[in-house]
Amino acid sequence: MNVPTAHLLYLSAGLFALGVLGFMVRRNVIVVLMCVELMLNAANLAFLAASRQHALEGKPALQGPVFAIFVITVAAAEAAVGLALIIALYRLKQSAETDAAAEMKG
Amino acid sequence: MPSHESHAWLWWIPLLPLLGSAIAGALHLATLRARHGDPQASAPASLAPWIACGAMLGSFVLSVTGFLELRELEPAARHLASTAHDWISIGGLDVDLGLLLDPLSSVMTLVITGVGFLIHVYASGYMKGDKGYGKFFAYLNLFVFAMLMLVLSSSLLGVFIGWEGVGLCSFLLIGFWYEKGWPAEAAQKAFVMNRVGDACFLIGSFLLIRLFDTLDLATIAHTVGSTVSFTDEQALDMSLAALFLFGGCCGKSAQFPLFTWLPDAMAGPTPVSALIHAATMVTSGIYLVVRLNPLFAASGWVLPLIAIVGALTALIGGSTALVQRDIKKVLAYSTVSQLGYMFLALGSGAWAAALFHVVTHAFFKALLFLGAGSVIHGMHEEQDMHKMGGLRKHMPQTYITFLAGAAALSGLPLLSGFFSKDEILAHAFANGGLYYGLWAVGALTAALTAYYTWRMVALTFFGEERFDHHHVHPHESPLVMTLPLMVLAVLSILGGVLGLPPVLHVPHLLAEWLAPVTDAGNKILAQSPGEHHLSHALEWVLLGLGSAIALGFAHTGFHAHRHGTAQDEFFARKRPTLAATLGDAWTIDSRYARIIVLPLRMLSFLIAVVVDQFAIDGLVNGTGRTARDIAQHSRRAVDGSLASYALWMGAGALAICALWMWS
Repeated sequence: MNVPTAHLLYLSAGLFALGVLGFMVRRNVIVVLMCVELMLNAANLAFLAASRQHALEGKPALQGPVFAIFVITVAAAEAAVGLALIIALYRLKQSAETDAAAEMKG
Repeated sequence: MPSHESHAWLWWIPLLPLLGSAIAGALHLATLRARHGDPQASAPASLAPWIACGAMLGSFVLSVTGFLELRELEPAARHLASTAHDWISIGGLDVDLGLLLDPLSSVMTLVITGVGFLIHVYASGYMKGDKGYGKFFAYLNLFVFAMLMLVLSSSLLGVFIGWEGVGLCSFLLIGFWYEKGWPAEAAQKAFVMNRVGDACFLIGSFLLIRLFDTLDLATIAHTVGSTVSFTDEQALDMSLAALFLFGGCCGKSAQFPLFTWLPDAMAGPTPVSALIHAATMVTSGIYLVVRLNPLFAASGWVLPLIAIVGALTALIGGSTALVQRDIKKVLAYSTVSQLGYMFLALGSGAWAAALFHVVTHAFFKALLFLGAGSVIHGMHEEQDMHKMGGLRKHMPQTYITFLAGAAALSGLPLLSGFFSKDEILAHAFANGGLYYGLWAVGALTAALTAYYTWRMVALTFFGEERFDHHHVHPHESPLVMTLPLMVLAVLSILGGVLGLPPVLHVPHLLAEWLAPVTDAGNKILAQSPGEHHLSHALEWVLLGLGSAIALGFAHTGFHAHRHGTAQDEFFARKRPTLAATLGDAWTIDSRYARIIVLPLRMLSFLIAVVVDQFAIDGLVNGTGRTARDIAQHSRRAVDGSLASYALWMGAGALAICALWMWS
């Protein structure tokens, strides 16, 4: 029960890197959206880890969880808009691949 | 000093023509609109001459009223002033927008509005049928407005407004038939050459501000007249101011070396030549010098310089007029020559004599130009005298009046030109020294004048009819054109009574009238040695000599040319170089073309090709090309692939983080 804060931050960074990587390499828009969610939650984990560290040191530790709740709310809104965009894209292109929407050719 | 009582009605003298100009211009625009739909529509512009002549008549009546009012006053108190408002007030400099009617401006106003009215009436016949009928009167009235502002303004700045205004109207009217091409070029030439003079005028004005802290003409004249002695620096400044103002006069009054625009200005309609380029605008330089006569009198060496320039111009103009074939060119060079006479008078300190010649010249030269216009009109726009001849039978009224003008111009005894010319020569003679030489040049020019005038009369009205009878049917002009000729003929004959010579023991009316203005300058001149009065016997000799020269050369000129063009051809064959030199006005104009215009054009070409097309265009195009090239390469980044955007974004975020951590 005595996990060091550094480990939590490593986990957070790993999750974030995974999200970024997925965002870059996956083509399915739904997976891309999921990767974005992953990145947001990695950030949440970092918030909570830092907040826990503050609590252990006996300092006020409310900002971390509050921020995490904010992020979750925004993520929910973002997911709604993102899914709506995906549906619109699918209607337009009959596909949910990112390349389908790549109309700009430098 | 001007009286403080305000005479606001003075403003109507210039404002009436301005109003007329606006209405005539509106009528012209209305005509254009009416003709747009139907070319045969009755044109509103046919009203324009009524408006314009009416404005001129009103202005003339007011000028006469002003003259009569001035006459009621004591000579020393003869000035009516009206100040509209305090125009410029910076530091120590105060310039009022005001008018001043005194004996000098009264004479000028009477000539401008009187002769101007006659020329307007004439023009309503001459320009009939021209498609710019309304526009013509709008310009002509605008010119009169500017000219009246020039002579009535109480400050040099107001004079400058009129000075530029008449220049503008001169430009517009010389180029009136701009579709033909060469009038537009002549207009440009006149404008550009006048700019040279105008720049001098401005420099002169600035020097006056430095000297006197004012531009008020009366104050300047009064200050110079009442100052006993000047420091060396002030005297130099005054000489320079006088010199630069005279430079301005050289431009406007067509003196050497800036006279070459005036002969080309004949591209304008003939009434314009009569009004602007003979009777009024070109005399504004003389007006200015007379107006500031104490300044010029006190400016030492400038006065002899003016006399030399005047005499030289008189000689160049007179000798060039000898060989011209174009009737208007003869009159144009004659005008240059007569203006030279006026400056010779000014340079001799004979202010009143100069103005006397302005007045008589306005009468007879306007008459001659209008007569020439009548001839050109009757000959279906033919201006070459070698293609005229024998017109006296076809145009009796023009012929008789033209004779009167020619007699006055050539200075035949007892006519107006005789008295004014001889007064100038007598004054030059009385100054002695250098002026003996200038007198001789003047006398020679008088001989030339008589010769070319009567050559012109002989070639135009006498001899066989050298025109093509099948195509040209000379006819007398309508009454509206001949009536002004008759009035001007009477004035040309009788104008001499304004200034009879002192030997006749009658008062010199004009000199007495102008005395309040010219006294200051005369007083200054009287202090310097050298000036002495001629004995009566000598005056009689000079008068007799003048008469003999005029009669003799008029006779020679007339008889040498009355039988046609043989004499001209003989001269051109016998002395080809001389004939070519004279025909080209001593080749001054072609020298300008070679020395100034050609290098200027080459420089312009250089700038256009090397500096503009190469350097400036290269810079501008290069900037554009560089931006395009950068874009050409960087656009590859925008390829539509979400993954690469994300990669760049991630790389950017990493870079920012790295920067933040290491700094």
